Amino acid sequence: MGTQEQFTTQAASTGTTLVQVERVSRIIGNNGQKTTILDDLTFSIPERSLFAINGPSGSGKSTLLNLLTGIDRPTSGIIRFAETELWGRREDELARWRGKHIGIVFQFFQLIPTLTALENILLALELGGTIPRRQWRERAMTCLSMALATEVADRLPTQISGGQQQRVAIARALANNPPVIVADEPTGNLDSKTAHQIFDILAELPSQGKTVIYVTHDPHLAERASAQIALLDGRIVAARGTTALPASEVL
Amino acid sequence: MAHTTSALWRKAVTDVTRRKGRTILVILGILIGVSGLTAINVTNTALYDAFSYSASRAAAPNIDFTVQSTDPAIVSNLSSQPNIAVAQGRTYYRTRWQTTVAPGHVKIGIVGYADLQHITLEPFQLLDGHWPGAGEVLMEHSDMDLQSFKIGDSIAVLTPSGFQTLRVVGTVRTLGLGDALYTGSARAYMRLEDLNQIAGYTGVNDLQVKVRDTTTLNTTAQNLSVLLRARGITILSSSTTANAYDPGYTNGLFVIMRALAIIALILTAFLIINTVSTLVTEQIPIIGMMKAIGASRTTVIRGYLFSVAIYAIVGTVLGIGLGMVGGQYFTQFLANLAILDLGPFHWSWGTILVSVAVGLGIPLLAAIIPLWTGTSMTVRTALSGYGLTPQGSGRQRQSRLGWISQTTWLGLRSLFRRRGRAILTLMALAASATVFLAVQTTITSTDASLNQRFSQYNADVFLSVTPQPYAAVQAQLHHTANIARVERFEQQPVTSQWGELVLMGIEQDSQLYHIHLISGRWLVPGELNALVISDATARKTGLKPGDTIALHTASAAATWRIVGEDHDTSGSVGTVGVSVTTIDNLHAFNQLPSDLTTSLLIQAQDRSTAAVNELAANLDTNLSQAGWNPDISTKQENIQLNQAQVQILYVLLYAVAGIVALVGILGLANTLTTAVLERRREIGILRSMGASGWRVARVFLVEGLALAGIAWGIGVILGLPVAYGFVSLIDQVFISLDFSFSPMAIVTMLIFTLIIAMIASVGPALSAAHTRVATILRYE
Repeated sequence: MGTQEQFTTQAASTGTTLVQVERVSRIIGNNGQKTTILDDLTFSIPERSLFAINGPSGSGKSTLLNLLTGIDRPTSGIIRFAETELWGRREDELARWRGKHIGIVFQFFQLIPTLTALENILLALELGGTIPRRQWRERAMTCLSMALATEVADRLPTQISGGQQQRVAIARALANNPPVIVADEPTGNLDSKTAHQIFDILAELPSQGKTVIYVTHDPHLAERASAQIALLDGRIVAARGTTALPASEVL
Repeated sequence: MAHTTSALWRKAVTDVTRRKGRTILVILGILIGVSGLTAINVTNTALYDAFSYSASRAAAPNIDFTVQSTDPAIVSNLSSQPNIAVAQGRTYYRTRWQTTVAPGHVKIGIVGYADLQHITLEPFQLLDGHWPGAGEVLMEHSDMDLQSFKIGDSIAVLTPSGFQTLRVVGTVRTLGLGDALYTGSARAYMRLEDLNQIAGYTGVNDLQVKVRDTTTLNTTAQNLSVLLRARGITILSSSTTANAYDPGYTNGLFVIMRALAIIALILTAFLIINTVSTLVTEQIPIIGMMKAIGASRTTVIRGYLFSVAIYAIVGTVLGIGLGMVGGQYFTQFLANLAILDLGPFHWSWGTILVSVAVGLGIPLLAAIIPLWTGTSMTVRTALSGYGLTPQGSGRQRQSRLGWISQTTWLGLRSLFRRRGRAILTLMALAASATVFLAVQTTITSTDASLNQRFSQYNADVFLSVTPQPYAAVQAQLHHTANIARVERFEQQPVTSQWGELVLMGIEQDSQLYHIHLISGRWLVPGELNALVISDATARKTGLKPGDTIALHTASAAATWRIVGEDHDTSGSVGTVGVSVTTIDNLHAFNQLPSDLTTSLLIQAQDRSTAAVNELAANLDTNLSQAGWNPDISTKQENIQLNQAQVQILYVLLYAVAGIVALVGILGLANTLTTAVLERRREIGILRSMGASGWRVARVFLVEGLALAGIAWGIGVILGLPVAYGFVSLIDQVFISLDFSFSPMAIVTMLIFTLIIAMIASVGPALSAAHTRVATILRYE
């Protein structure tokens, strides 16, 4: 893939755009010094795609992911998620929106240590509020089944392995049947065999109608995406299967 | 298992049940605070009610005359006087009961009534046995604490004709009489005629009166005195009380207890705020995650308030239970020291409500601010420690002293990593240090004042006998070796408009009692109705040399001129101090013969402890054989007795010191435990680089000790004014005290603070030292 060329507008496999990012920058200031984490990004994420954001450490991948999920706010630019602009919403509004539309898989699992695997998923169902209460348990077990983690349903996070914790985290992300799954280095803390098993679960989701956006520094995992952008020092240096622009280039 | 309960509620419960260490710490914090507060309030209520119970107006006399033995018929004369509700006559015989415990005898007061079964004032209840006949006696139940006995046994009591054996036929409980173990004196009852026979008395020598209207108590007492003297009855002493217990003592005690209750409340609030704030703060990353997956701020706050409510309910229920049990035992202990009859234990709903309000309200309120702050953070900020967003804090290069080790520096640098929490911890520790210094200084001041009190006496032995002409006393003492000087000396409680005062009578040219004049002068020979007031009295009344003061007892009243002021911290608990006059003036005031002697100061020639003790023993033998019922104590014994009187104060102070120590320990333990949790990655890195468990532990020990050191410094600055204020309070309401500060108290306070820090740091440091590196670094 090219690094400094103008990128082709090779259409994504699905065609419809789910997320539109336009001229988004993220600059942080610390004791008078400003640091540009992301610099004037423009790209789109196709619906029902397996979309990778990759790049070396410090390229701004996780920051970009935070912006896409509303966890962080851009310094400038617009992010539209299914034609809905995220910028300008209050924290509570964003939280409720996330609960319904996005399932997040964190790098360090982020399971609540005092709840069992099943209870962690039930909590997500309660917070999302998309499914009737009487269906929660069945839904939770279904998600665990999808994540191949039913055997650990009644165990605490401290009683299961990292791989099992990540499966539970994936099950939690699927709980409210969100259209989008976001994963930040989902295999970063796993051995290679487990990593592939976990990624296989994620890779299956677009065929079930979901869009999976994931961050990785592993080029092999990035290659499995149907669309991807590559970041370097906060700028897009390459793209595949999506519309993307480097800085200051306007189509 | 069907999960029908809310997952949020379930999380609130599991946060409590599955984090046992944290749960124990939080509940312990609430429990200690609530139980301390409850115990003090229970004690306050129970003691106050006990004073009322013991001073049952129906059964307590308002006027008491100790007279030379007189015809019991005088009682009916007294009863017929205006404003008299009840009059009662009895014989009170103060003697010794031969025991097997050292020194071989204890004091006993035997009371004789004409009709033991119909006593109207200071009645007793027959617990076991039957009413006595000739040669038989009823013993107060608590006398068993001095010397064990059972019904049917015989006791030996000293009489003018030697030791007499009396058979114990029953035990009694006297309303309002303190436990014998604490009063140091036994009590027994006999038929009047039997007691008079063995004591060599006739008639009655103790007249008790209850008035209808206490507002004219003093006038009534004066009238009765006139009546008695008109009948040729010599009044040896008299007293009046509108209530059976000196209000000065009780009011003073309750002021101090209220102050301690307020301190306990503040410390409770401190501890709970520190504990709950720490609890919520360490949950911020989880709060961030919950917001990331869809929780609104209200939802998050509600969930955590559930957990805090569970902690609060458990801690409050346990704290109230423990506080009530502790309060009951504490009340019993203090009641015995204060010579009180407790009656059935009870408590007030007010006490429970206050404890519930504090135990439930403060944790919930304490959680609001950190919860509000935590939930107002952006998700990114809240999660910043967990890797979703890299930690963005820039490292600042800090200069450091080269000779400090890195691990020590690591501990010191972390002191104010979390400023809010560090400040709360410092406040808790500083409060502990400050209160400790105040307690130590108060005790030092009390000890110094008590020692100073007796430094005014140049006497070695204090002697009291049954009233005798002075010439007879001198003749009797002439046969006792090792006596250098003898002087008459008497103390009498009198009443002024400011409360009870102790009026002391000494020889005009006394060499055994030093007057340390501050202003004015001593009395000139022959000067009547003049006295010198103490500086403590001057402080409390505002009087000075040149003023006058009206003093009265039940049988005497006069206006006195104040001719001088001296330094003297004497005076019983609850009095407004001491005033000194000549013994002749005192006798004239009481209309007693000028040579009548009941008390003496004696200076020994050989003043060594052994020689003085031998002198006391010889006096006891000689004067007992003379039938004078001597009560002898040495200067050292009096110092110890005074110290026993203030024991109630020491107990309260040490109880408060214990509570504040727990507050400090728990506050610091909370902070360090959280620090260990938050810095697990740091610990893992240290261990992976080769740091031993001890080195890792040292990081947190240094942090704990450094916080304690800073708290000590704050405690030194705050502790002195607080100590001065507290000593002044006690001086005003309880006993006269001079402020006395020992620099060693600062060193002791440092040791105390460091010990607290060590105890608090051990757990977290050990936890850090035993953390498994692989577990930390795998997932962090």
